[in-house]
Amino acid sequence: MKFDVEVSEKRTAVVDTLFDQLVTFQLDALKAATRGVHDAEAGLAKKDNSQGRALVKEARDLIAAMPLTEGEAASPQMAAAFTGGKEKGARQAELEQQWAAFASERYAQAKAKAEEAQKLAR
Amino acid sequence: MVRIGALAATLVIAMAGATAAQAPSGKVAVVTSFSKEVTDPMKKAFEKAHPGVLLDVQNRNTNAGVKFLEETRSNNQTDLFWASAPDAFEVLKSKHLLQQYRPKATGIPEKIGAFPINNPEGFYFGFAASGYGIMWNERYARANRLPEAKEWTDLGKPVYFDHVAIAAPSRSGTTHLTIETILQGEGWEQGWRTIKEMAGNFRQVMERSFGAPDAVNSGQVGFGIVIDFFAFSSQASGFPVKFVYPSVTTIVPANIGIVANAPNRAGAQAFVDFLLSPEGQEVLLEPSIRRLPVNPAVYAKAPADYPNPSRIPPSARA
Repeated sequence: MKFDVEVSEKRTAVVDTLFDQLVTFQLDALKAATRGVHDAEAGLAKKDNSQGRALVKEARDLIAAMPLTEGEAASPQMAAAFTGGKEKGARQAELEQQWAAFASERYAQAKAKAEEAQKLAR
Repeated sequence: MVRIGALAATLVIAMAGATAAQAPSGKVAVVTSFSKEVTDPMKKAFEKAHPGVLLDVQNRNTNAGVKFLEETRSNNQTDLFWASAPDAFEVLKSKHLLQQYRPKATGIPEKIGAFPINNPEGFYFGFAASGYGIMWNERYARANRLPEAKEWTDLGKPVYFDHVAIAAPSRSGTTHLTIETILQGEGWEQGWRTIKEMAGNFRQVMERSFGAPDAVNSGQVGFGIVIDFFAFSSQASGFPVKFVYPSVTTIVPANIGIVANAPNRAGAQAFVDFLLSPEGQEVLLEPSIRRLPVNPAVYAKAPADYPNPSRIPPSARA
């Protein structure tokens, strides 16, 4: 593959912050949802159920969901929010909170869907 | 015989004079993300080649190093920035924190795969090639009956739950590049899906780049998402680890650049020239370092099993 340094440079801070807000600081919630999906899939492999499959797909999509598009991540407005300075700007703090809330909500929903699917596979 | 001896003596004096006239001296201050295992042998070799010069090594993670240069720019005491991630150097360049130079080295190709080794404007220079991939502990994998992982998506499979480690990309320039490589290779949406499927299997997100390879070396976790040299130096130290380049990876240069307004410019230039010289490139082959030299001729001096970027499958090259 061709690695584009310019693409990377434009969104460096956004990608790092997304990773921290969606993964690093939400690891327990993300793992609980993932565990739920794995268990549901194992159950469905033994006792298939189309509704259960649909729920697992929904759960996987909830885990994968992103709070912003590629275009938004590279936008000048987004770059302006991440100045890279020592003091975190108000806009950056606001975005971080939004992304964290976005992730924790969806991971909880994904876990609930996966548990529902597990019950259907019993 | 006498005449030849006299001529030789004259030449020696002339050469000594020429060297003395432009000889770097004093302290050369370098901010680097590299560990002592890497910087110590290079410092030793450089100081031996340039008696009277002292390389002052300050270790900071890549992002902290960039911030440090920004914050100290009005009273800069740093001569060199030395780290893996090319995009950190792009950030420094765009903030006018680097200065241009034309290194004296010859024999270094323009590109590794599709990736330029040097910044074309001369703001920073690649000195070693690196790729990203999956490192694992064979004993751990056997004990836990885990299959070999070949692709990023493998690490998202249920069998690897709680068996994977990574460093936070915000704390590790090399991990940042790995994440960015997956996003560019698979696209934004699919790339994040792959990343979060792997992340669901993480045991821990480490605070430093070497946290992940250390955890794999010790058998604390089985699999790590790491830059290749961590695995190669672990192998050289006898740890039971293996490494694979997934098909979505990129081979990128690790870099050095001279800081704008460097207090010891001559010393900084001397270190860049040394790092890119055959002598400096050979230091990279040492077991504690195991970086891939950018000068192809140096591989002739490498052990037979030494990894070579030209042996990485074309699909995995930048």
